[in-house]
Amino acid sequence: MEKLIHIIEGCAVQDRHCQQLLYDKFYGLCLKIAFRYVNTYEQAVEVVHDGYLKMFRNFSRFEVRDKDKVEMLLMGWIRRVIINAAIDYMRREINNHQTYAIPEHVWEHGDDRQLSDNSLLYKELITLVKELPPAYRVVFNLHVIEGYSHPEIAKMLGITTGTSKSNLSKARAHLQKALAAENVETILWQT
Amino acid sequence: MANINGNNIDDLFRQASDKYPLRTDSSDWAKLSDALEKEPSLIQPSLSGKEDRRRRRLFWLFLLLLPMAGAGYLFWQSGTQRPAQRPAPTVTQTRAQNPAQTPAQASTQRPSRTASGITVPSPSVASVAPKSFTRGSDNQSTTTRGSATGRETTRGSATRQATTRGAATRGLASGDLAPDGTTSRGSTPGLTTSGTPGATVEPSADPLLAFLDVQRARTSDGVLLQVDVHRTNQTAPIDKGKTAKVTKLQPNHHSFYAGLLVAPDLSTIRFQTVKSVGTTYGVLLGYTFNAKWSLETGVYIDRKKYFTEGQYFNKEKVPPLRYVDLQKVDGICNMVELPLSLRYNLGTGNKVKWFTTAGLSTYLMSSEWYNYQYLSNGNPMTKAASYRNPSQNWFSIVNLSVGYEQKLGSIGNLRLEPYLRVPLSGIGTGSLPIMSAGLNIGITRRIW
Repeated sequence: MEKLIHIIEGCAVQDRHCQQLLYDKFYGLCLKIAFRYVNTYEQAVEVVHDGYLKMFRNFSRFEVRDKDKVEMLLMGWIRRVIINAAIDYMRREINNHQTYAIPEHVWEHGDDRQLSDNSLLYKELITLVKELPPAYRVVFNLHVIEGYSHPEIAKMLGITTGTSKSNLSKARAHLQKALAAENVETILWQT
Repeated sequence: MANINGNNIDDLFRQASDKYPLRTDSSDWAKLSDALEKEPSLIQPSLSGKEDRRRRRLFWLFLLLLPMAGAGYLFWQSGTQRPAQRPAPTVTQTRAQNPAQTPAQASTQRPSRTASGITVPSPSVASVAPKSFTRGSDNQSTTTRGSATGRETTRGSATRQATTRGAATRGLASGDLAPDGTTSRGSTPGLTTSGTPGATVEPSADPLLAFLDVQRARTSDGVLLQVDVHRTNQTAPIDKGKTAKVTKLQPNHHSFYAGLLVAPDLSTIRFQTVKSVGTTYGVLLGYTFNAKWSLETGVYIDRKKYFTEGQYFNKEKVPPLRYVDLQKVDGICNMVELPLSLRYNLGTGNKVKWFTTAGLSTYLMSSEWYNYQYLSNGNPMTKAASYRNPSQNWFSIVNLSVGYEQKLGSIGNLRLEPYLRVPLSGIGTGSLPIMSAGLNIGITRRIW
């Protein structure tokens, strides 16, 4: 905990060493968040880069008010910054409707025994999410996974609450349809 | 499919989002570090407590300077008036052939004019002065301090003024001094002065001064000396039958005055940076109760320019801002200000007044313009917006000032007045505590 507070204080005064420590510590988390939103792995890397850039340039805004919850608060803040960076990236790529197959090299390839069955399942589920149209995908991510309400999503994306609900409904329908095709009974049994 | 519902799917995907096996070895700190070097932080770290305290100290020091300047002036004034309170030299006059002269005439306190014609203010001066003044052959003796006979006149103030006024003492030739310390002047025949060697005696062309038989003398360093003056062959006839009246002038303080003021206006919000200077101009109206107290009001047109960090801007009245991270706000507002203040004169000189005012102001906002800088989805953006008639703040600003007023003759009075306006509540769309300071410069004039 003390080390994390030290890192935060260092980042607030633009200390490069502390910034690197923070970058390394939360890079995986950020990449996983970004990858759920954007199309490709490379785009996710770019989003994370942009997100960290904004984070470090504005780090003095992050205040440690409760030292006991500092890690949770920091993760929440980082998550928010990365999500915003991802949404911003998607806006810039709004005219790009191309779908991309996810290459195998983006997945973690450890020992096959180390990868549990659940991991394989999660990989399949994330692949399903990424196959959603961008408008549905972003609302699904924001509402189901991040926990934002529809009015919040509407404000973030500049859409109406109704559109947000509609997109979520359609996203769920897509996923249910896809899950049905993927032998849902097996999936649920595995979980 | 029958076993699947929305909650099942949601839980499933939540678990998957945290634990899916994505490769995370693509980090590239060098690239990020390079980018950070090229584009340093836009937002500077917040002011340290030390710097913040220093800025506040400077502000309060500036604020204290105003009353201290007033107090300093009062102290200086009391210091200069002190000699007048000391026992003044007395003038004893014996006028053998001046039966008509009354004691009041003899003690025609202070002269209203000096030899060079410079007016010496004397608010409580007797209004009677001899119309004609001829010096005849009468013997007349005038001594300072301790004459046994005759009338005594206390005129310390006049003597002091005469000594300190260069114009009044110009024209004296030190060579007039006799070796025995007496001065004999051709212009005033028979006038002799006995005193400290080196003293000079001013001839007074003014008949009033001569009438008083008071001679001013000073040494080369300006110190007033005791002088014995013996006059011979001088007469100060007064028209027979004339009685002197001593009338004290009682100035009528009840009056109205008006003025035009203009001021550069520096506005800050919680002691943040002042980026540009606004303006204030308008009309001042005042009513004087007495020599010390006045009531002032007026109508000012203010144009305030200010800057604030986003955290101090209340976003309640600007819904689109509620969900963005507001970084900085530059604002300009136009308003009508209605001040109501009590004025107290700290000190009054011949042509100078020092005063302080305190009161409340009303701000009637007519328009506001803001330039917002904010982060939307982490992306820096700017947006400008203007608002009409957004708010009215009645008597919610405290007015404090210390001022200086200089008479400019028939034009009126020049008024210089550093002021401070401290808000008691938030002002405008962003409910910002706009504190203002400036310097009122203007002309005021009695109108009724």
